[in-house]
Amino acid sequence: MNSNVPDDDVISGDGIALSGEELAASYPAGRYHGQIRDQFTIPEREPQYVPAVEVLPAELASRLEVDLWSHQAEALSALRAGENVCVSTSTSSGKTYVYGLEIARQYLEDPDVRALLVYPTKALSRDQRGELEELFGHLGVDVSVGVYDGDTDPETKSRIREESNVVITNVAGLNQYLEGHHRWAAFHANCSLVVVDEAHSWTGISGMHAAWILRRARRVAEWYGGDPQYVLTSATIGNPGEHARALTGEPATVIDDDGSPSGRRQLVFWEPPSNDESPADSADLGEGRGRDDRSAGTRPATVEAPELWAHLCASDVSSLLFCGSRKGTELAVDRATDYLETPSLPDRGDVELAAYNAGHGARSRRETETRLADGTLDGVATTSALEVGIDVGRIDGAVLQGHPGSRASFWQRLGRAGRGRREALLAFVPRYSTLDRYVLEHPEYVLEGEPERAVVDLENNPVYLQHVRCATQELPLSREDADRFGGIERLRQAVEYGRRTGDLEGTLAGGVSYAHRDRPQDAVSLYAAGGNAFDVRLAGAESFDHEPIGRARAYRDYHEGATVRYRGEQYQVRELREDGPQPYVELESVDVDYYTQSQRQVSIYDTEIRDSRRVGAFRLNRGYGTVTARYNKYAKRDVSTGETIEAGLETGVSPLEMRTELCWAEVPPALERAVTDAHADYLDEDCEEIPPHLHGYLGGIHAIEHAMIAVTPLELTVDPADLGGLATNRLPDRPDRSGWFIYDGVDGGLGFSRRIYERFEDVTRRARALMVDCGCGRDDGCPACLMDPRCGNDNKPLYSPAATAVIDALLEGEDEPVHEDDEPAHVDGESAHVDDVPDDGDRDDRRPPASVS
Amino acid sequence: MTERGADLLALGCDALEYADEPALCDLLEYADPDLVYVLWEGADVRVASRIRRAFDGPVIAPGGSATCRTETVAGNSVVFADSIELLENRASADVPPDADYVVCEDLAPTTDRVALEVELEGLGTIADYQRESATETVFCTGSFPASYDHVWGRELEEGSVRLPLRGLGPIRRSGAAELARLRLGADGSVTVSSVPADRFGLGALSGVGPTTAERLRNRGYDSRRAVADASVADLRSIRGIGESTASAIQRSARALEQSRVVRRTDDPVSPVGCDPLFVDVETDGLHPTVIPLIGVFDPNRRKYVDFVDSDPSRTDPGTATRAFVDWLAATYDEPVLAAWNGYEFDFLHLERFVARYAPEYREYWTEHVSTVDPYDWAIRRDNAVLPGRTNRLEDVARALGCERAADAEAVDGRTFATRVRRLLEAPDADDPCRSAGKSNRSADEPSRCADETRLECEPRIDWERARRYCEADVRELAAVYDALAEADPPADSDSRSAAGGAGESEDERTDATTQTGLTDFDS
Repeated sequence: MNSNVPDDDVISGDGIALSGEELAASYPAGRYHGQIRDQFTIPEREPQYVPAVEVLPAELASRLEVDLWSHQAEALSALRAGENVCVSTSTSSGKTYVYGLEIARQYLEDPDVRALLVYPTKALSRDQRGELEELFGHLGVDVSVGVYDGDTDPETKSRIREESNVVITNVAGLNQYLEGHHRWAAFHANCSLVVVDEAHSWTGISGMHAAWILRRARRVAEWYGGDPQYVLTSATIGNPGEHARALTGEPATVIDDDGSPSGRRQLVFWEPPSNDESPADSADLGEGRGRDDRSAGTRPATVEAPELWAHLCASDVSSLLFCGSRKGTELAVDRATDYLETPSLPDRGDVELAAYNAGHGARSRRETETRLADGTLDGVATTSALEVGIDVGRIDGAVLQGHPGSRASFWQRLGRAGRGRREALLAFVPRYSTLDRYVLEHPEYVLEGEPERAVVDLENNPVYLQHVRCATQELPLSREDADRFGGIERLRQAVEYGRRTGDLEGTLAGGVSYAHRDRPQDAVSLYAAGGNAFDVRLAGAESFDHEPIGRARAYRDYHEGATVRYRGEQYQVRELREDGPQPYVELESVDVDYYTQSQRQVSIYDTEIRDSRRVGAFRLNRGYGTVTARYNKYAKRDVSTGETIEAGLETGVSPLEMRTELCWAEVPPALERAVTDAHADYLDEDCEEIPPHLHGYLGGIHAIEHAMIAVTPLELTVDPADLGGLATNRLPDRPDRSGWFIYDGVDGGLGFSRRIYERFEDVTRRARALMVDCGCGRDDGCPACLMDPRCGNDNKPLYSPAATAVIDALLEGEDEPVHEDDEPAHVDGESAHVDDVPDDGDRDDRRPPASVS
Repeated sequence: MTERGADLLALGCDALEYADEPALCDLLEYADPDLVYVLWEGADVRVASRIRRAFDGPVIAPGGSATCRTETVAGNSVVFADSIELLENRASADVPPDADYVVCEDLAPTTDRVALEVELEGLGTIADYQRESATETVFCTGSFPASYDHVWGRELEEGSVRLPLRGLGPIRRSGAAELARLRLGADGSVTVSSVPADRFGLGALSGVGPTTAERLRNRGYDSRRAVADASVADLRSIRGIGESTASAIQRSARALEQSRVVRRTDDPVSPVGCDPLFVDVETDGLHPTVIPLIGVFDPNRRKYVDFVDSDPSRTDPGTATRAFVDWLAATYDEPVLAAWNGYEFDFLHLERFVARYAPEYREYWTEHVSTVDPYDWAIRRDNAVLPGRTNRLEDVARALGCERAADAEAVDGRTFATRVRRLLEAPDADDPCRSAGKSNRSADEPSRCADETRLECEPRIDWERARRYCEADVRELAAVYDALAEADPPADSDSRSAAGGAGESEDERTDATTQTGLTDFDS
């Protein structure tokens, strides 16, 4: 549990056993090859206290025995003033206290008070119940807490509905329980607090479902007279207030001035050495070496990180190692153990290590947690399971085996080390992949810049329609609901849609209700738009704990013959069926030494512009378009080398057509000509179907499209697999122009391409840095910069000199507007200089030829 | 009193794939249609020809060249057009201009979920047809389920035109598909009842699917009567039928063939010592926004009371609920209410409406009013097997011999609900939802009184008839309840198998066993 008690470690002066400065010298001789690429010190933060009695009734304050951290006090004051709050502070900053104390305070005034706590997962729910019960017990308030989800038996459910002050559930469960709201009448009538925990995790498609489910919940509560306030807790994100509002539909006061203390932290960027420098014993790379580690001669992070971790643990720095998969944690322990047993190395002796992941079962996990807390374990290799929530006791170090995908997770994981004001030693070991390399080259990205923005977008109409149907089934929907349900115009359209299809009846004036007897809630899948989710089954198994997947993902990654890695296990897809009422894919366990990758060929048509803006001579557009993605073929690749074993295999899936949101850039014709001419000599011999003189230019815009998608997670919380792109020399609406698209890979859109449109310059700037700074030094890029394994054209052509020329023209031409649709008055013939792309920005004399008015 | 109308049974071949000749005859006898229409979706010539052989009347099935056929039943003309082109080229295709009903499966929706748009293919053609028709035609298509009831509109030069469209397809429900029987009324009103496709012939028996039916027939049990007369031991000797299945088959055969309730337990229907009040609520749909009519029958006082809000409004949808609970609290201290499927509908919505619109009675409702649901007791809790092809109240009551008055029969809950909804919608001709969808003439001619216009277009609610319908429902419920309470408790299972079943009396209602049951019930 997070504790506000000042840390006695500091008082006792028992400092960390190994500091960042000592790390290199302490590393075993012959193993240190200058891996420390960078080292940063994050100074300690003094705690800010507020006497509990200032914000809590004396009765509670006296029992609490400790003072509050300032952000907790600030949040409680805001709640008292009737505001909603979004608490966005560091790991272990006592966010649970905020709502725990608020509930206790409300309970003293009214013992009938009810609160709804929504957690992302079932596992977290039970941990949190324990923590809350402990707090309430300590405070001497008789607040009852119940976990209500699929694992709760019917009798307990009924008791919880009737009696529990605090009901803990998850979003998918809430979607279902809203249907039976009459059984919750008393709960809804007295519901005064809704808590959304880990709010930052609700983004993309599941975020938009969560947002509608929370709106439906509020509507039902209001019907019975409830008027809940919201508490959202979130890791650090760039837009906590906006995100809270998007999720709940209500404004929230942002509490982000962290009053909890932290010790001095040293962060090391530890770059795996090249294989030439690697010790001979690491030749066995084995499992876990996917494409991320496929690089020209660099030691994989999956080998290097466990050794560094073992070294820390052996040096009395008890540490966590964060891995990407369950199996990865097991392998890491094996590798670390091997390392510790190597006779030639000094790091020997009694070092207790364990793996921790959700595959371990509750009892085994409890045991590991206990051993970690009481200090009998020196190190734990874990998945994201230990990123949040669970008490990890006194941990001095943390090692990241690869970048976790977002800055929030990066800090959340590292934040598990150095409890209270204790010092901590942290290390980031990058894999050979785009994001990891980018962060290695640009540490300021994690250290300074603005955190990613969480995207919850409500514009997706297929998802909206589903929730309108659910809402009408729960209670008649009327005009008064319009503000919460998309505004009157959109709601009218949705209602008319439903009336015409026969799903809805009535009008907004009188009340619209659902016309069928089935439960539209059943059709909602948090992971798909529009209810066409595929069940994932395991052959011969009663049940298989895998969330349903959307059609796009099924076609792409779960076609027949595809290998699937799930929670560290390997499966193959036996069957993909969608002719029945419930589409599904069936997997079987396999042990093969290859993985599969489908290749995507995309065409885009029927574009419809919703907004346009000029950037220099470029026109940027956003809107809707019809995207046809064909995943016709797939290849088998060797697990250890990544080499293609077999290509051109048939997936058997039909083309996937979706109407979705996209953004695209139109390249000014003069620039296109100039860059084409300047790079006409570049030839990619594998691209026979493309006219040779276009290889350079098309390779350029193709590279921009890849790189932009690769860096988008630096700006937005997005899984790059949810984005797609296309570079073309014939735009659908203007065949005389070339350009590149980025689209949302879900029917109806996700709002990502719209945000990219808004931040187009920032994203292209990062894309440029990615290609220019990559250590590969190759014009056609490498897997860590320009290459995308899904590329339907097999990453050909890609040509970064042309790409940077186009990007520079985009970024530098901002002040030079061009008349709409005008061709440039003339083309500057002196465009040849763009083929010489400098590494640094000597940009002034590289004015692109199209910047002409 | 209106004319009876034409009964059309819409059949899907896929649902009847396993139906044999006797089952088809049974189905047709039960549904008793004037016309049989075979849906295009999943059409199968073999099934269609079986239907033709089994039905002594017009069967309209797809196949051959596109033609147009007209059937006239009880003064209603129904045109079946195999393609929309036939309607377009009316003159050459010999399509009558003023049909009451036009069935055409080319009328199908195209939807765009991203743009939130739905269009109807063929809309222009039927608008032309409607414009030239002297009376209002109702259009029907199998592209929608039979529950579909939407009035499309189309702007023409001379004003907008109303295009009522009904579905004929199977109704979506868990389990087997429900076939639709539509009563096509002379005034354009359509009443839909549905029939589960698998509840005919031997298939009507619980636990009997196509395989078991085949095995029963092979052993000489070719009718339900024969099964009802068989002993459990005989049935058990058939491969694949175990003890409990044999009993279940026999019980359901007896319930159906002897038109009586067959009890499986001797648990009482309602809590000991109570006389329930029978209740039915009429609403504007499955997910009601208003409860305008509540009927209550007290058998002890032999008194029927109803609470009607004949001017239901969206501002106060709880008027009837308030009057009802007000009366209830004044009259009964600890009432027990009984409603058919009340746990899933009536009680659920009454409770919600009391909570919202009569909050002063919320405590009375939760603390003092208890409820029973005879349907739940019999079916979900497995206490009894009911006669009737379905377990819907009207089916059970009909099987038990309750006849309802003809004018009460002409209304049903769903029709009532639709009319209430349209009544609520009517003053909102300015609502764009409405003008787009219904294209009521008043939308284009604001000077006309919306209400007047509505009268021209929509059948008005006949509140007296609705009340009679509600009363008939409640009285049927009381009768079914009595039949449940009075049915014989099951004999000891041993003695039953020993008795062999065949000689059991159908008329054991008055013997001592029943008395014991009632004593248990009373104590």
